[in-house]
Amino acid sequence: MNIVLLRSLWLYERLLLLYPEDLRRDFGGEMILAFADDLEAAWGDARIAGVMQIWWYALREMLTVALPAQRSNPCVLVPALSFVVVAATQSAELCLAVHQAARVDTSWLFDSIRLVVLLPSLANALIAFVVTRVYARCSITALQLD
Amino acid sequence: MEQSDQLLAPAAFLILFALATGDKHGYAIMQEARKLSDDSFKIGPATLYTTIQRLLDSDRIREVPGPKDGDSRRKYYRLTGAGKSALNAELVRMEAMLRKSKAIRLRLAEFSS
Repeated sequence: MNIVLLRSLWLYERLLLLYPEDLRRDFGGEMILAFADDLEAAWGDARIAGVMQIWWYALREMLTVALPAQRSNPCVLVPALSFVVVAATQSAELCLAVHQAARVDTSWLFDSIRLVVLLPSLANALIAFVVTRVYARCSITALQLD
Repeated sequence: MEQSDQLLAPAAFLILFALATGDKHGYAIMQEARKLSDDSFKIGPATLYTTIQRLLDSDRIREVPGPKDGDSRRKYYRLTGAGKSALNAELVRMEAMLRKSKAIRLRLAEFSS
């Protein structure tokens, strides 16, 4: 297996974390095997174009299978909502700043998106994840004690 | 409503169809499903195993030991009686739909000529 396929497989293994825990526990190993077989066949048929097609299907599955399955998981839902809300408010502020700025160049805009929108949104999502995770553990402990 | 009377999702139908010709592991099911649909329906690993999980839960397929010389990491799956009934019911339904669609096409052809 070459470096492109190995890297792809490494990334797919990490992205499996987005799928529900029971699916990963029961079929995670097989999913990785099937993905590896698919990658090798695609590389044999069409090289990079084949690998890109496999990734297109894999990413589409993340949206159609992984995310809907995680809707009821607060550890995913709360950080995702937090990210969206903060990103939306920060984007609105940035738009206002851009609108009022005398001159806007591309590097300034990219830095602003990174520092004003993405960083606070990610930080908030991370905090939301930790709090939800801790809260979920606490409530399980409380239930066990009762 | 009996299990075999329920409409099958396309992925579940293709997985049952692929297993109708014998026991297979996940990747072999993926390839067979692609062939059966003339490459028009691609099942990825997540769709495949989410559907396999549902089919196992509804006893339409079951896990069986693979060949002795096969890869021990791979699990093999086999159609159960309930799976065969569900597949057969779906095929009968499709045949009936095809007959009706042919009749409608004939009528449309008469109407346009």
